[in-house]
Amino acid sequence: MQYVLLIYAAESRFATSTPAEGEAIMQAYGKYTKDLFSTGRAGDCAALAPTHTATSVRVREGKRAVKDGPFAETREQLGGYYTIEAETPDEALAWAEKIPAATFGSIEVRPIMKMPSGAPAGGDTEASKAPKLSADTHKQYLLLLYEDEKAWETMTDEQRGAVFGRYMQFSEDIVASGNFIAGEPLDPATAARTVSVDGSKRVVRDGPFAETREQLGGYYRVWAKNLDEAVSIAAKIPAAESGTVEVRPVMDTSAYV
Amino acid sequence: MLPNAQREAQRAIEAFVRDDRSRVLAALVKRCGFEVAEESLDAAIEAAVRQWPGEGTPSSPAAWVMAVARRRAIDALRHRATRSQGRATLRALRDERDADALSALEDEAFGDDRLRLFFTCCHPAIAEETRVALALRWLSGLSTDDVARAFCVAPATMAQRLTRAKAKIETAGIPYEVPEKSELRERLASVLEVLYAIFNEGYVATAGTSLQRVDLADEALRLAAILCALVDEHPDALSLRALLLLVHARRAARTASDGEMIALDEQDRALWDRAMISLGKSLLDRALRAGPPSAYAIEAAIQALHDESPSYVATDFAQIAELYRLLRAKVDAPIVALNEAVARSMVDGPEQGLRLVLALERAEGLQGHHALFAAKADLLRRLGRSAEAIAAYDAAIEATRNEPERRFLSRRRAIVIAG
Repeated sequence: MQYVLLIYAAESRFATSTPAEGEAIMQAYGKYTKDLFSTGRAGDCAALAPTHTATSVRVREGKRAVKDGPFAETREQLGGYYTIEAETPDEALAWAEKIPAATFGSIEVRPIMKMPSGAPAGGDTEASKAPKLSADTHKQYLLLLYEDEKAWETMTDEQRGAVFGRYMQFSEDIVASGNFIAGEPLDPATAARTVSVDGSKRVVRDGPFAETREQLGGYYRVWAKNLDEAVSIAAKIPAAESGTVEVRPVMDTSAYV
Repeated sequence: MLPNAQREAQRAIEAFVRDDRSRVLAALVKRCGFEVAEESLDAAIEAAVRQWPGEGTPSSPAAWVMAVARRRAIDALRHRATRSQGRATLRALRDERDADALSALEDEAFGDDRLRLFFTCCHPAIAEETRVALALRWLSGLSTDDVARAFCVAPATMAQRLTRAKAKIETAGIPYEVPEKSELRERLASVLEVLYAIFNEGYVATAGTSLQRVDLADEALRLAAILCALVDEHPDALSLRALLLLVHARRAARTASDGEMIALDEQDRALWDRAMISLGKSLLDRALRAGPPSAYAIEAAIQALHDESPSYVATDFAQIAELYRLLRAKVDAPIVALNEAVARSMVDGPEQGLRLVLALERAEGLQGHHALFAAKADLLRRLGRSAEAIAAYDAAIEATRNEPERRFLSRRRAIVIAG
C-alpha cells in the first residue's frame, strides 16, 4: 500500500523561531529524510514555501479566477509531505510519528488511490522522450487539488470514468511537456488517520487533519518557468473547475539531504 | 554647509524620488531581483541625503543613485550568494560596465523595465489592496509611512504587508515581464484597476475627515499618463486616463472653503478645469476611434456629458441613462443600476426614479449602502414626501463613514425639515 504523510503545523512557529532553531528543525528533517529514503520505501517528498506565497486557481464557466493566498486560511497549514510504501497502516503511522513536526503539529496519513489500470500517472515511455527541465530555468511548484468529496460519491460510474479519463489525459500532457515531476490521487479523507506526539505519548485519531467539506484529493509536483506557467498548468486540472487548485512554491532543501 | 546647497540637494532628492525612483528601481530589479534592488536603492538614497548637501548635487542625480545602488547590490549579493543562481546574478552585475548600466537609464528599452514593474506589482496573484500599496510604494515612490497613512494602518503593518508581497513575488516566481499580446488586455485590466483604486482613494477617502485626498488623485493621474505612453496608447489605458481627467477637472468646485462637500447640482461650474476637460475629451475620442468602448470609456463619456453641460438641469440625462444601461451590460454592479435610476429620474420624473430605486433595495451590494439611501432620500424630497425623505437621510447618514459626506447629507436633511 502506498501512503502520503501530510505535514500540518502552525507557520507562525517558523516565523517566530530563531535562525538556530530553524536550522535545527531543517537538520532534523534532513536526518529523517535520509533515514526514510535509505529503507527504499520512500517515494516522493517536498517542503512547501509558507502560505503567504500561495496562489489559488479556479476555473468557472471557462473563465480563470486567480487569487492571492492558500485554499483555506487556517492557523495550521500543510507544510510538506512524504509518500511511502508500507505493508500495513500501522507501519505508515510509525513513519508519520517520527516526522519532526509531529511534536508541534499533526501528520495526516492518507492512502494513495489505486488507479484502475494500476499504472502510475504518466507512462515511462513518454517520460523518456520528454524535455528535461531543471532548476537552471525552472522552479518547482506543488499543485494541491481541493474538492468536495460528496460530488464524487454521487457520480455514476460513467461520470467517474470520464473524470478519470480527463486526469489521465492531463497527466500524459504534462509528462510529455516535461513539466511533470510527481503526482498522486488520494483516497477520500474518511480513510485518513491523523497522528501527533505529545511528549512521548502518541495521539492517533481517525479522520483527516481538517474536517472540512472540501478536502485535498491529490497533488501534482511540477516544473514551471514562473508562477504564470504554474497557474496555466493548474487551470487545466479538472479540479480547478469543480473545486480549487492551490499553487505553492516548493522550497529548495537540497542543502539538507 | 551653505543653506542654498542644502536646499538644492533636498529639492534634487525630492525630484528624484518623484520622477526617477521608479525608473531606477525597475532597472535594478531586472538586474538583481526585488529584495536586493529595493534595499540597495534605499541605501543609495540615504547616501544621497547625507552627501549631496556637503559635496554638491551631481549633474545627473539618477545616474549617481544608480551607480551607488549597483555597488550596494554587488556587496549585498556577495554576502548572500550561496546558491548558484545568486552567484550568476552577482557575476552579471559585477561584469557589467558602469557605463553600460548608466546608459540603460537613458535607453529607450528603459521604459520596458518600468512597464514590467507596473505589471508585476499589479499581478492578479497579489491581493488587490496589496497591489495598490505596491504601486504607491514602487511606481509612485511614496514612502512606506505615506502608503500606511493612505490606508489608515500603522507603518509597521504596512511594512510587513510590503515585505510579504516581495516574498510572494520572489518565492512564488511572479514574472518580471510584460505579458504576451494574448494576455495583455486581461493583465492591463488589473493595472488599470489599481490606478482607478488609487484615484478613488484620493477622491473620496473611505473613512476620515478630508473629502478629497488630492495627492493620491494626482498620483493616479501621473501614473496613468506614464502608463499610456508605455503601452503605446492602448485604448483601455487612454479611456481610464480620460475618465480620471474628466472627474478630476471638477475638484476645485467639489469642496467649499469650509471643507464641505458640494454635489454636482450645486457646483460652481466656472471653477471646473476646462483644459483638463478638453484633454480628457480628446483622449476619449482617440480611444473610441480605436475600437468598441471599454467600461472606462463609457464612464468617461458619462463624465464628459456632465462636464460639457452649462448647468445641472440642462444636462443630457437621457443620454447619460442610456450610457449607464450600456455600462450595466459590461459591469454587473448594482451601483451602476442605481446611477441609471437616478439619471432616469431626471428624464422621466422622480416617481419613476423612485420605483427603480426601490426595486434595487434588495440587490446584493446595495443593501445598507449609503448611496442607495441617499438616492432614495433625494427622490422622496423631490416628491415632497418629507417624513419619508428625512428617515431615508437618517439611514444614509448612519451608513456613511466619510465625515464630509455625512455633513452634506445632514445639510440636505435640514433643508427638508425647514420645508
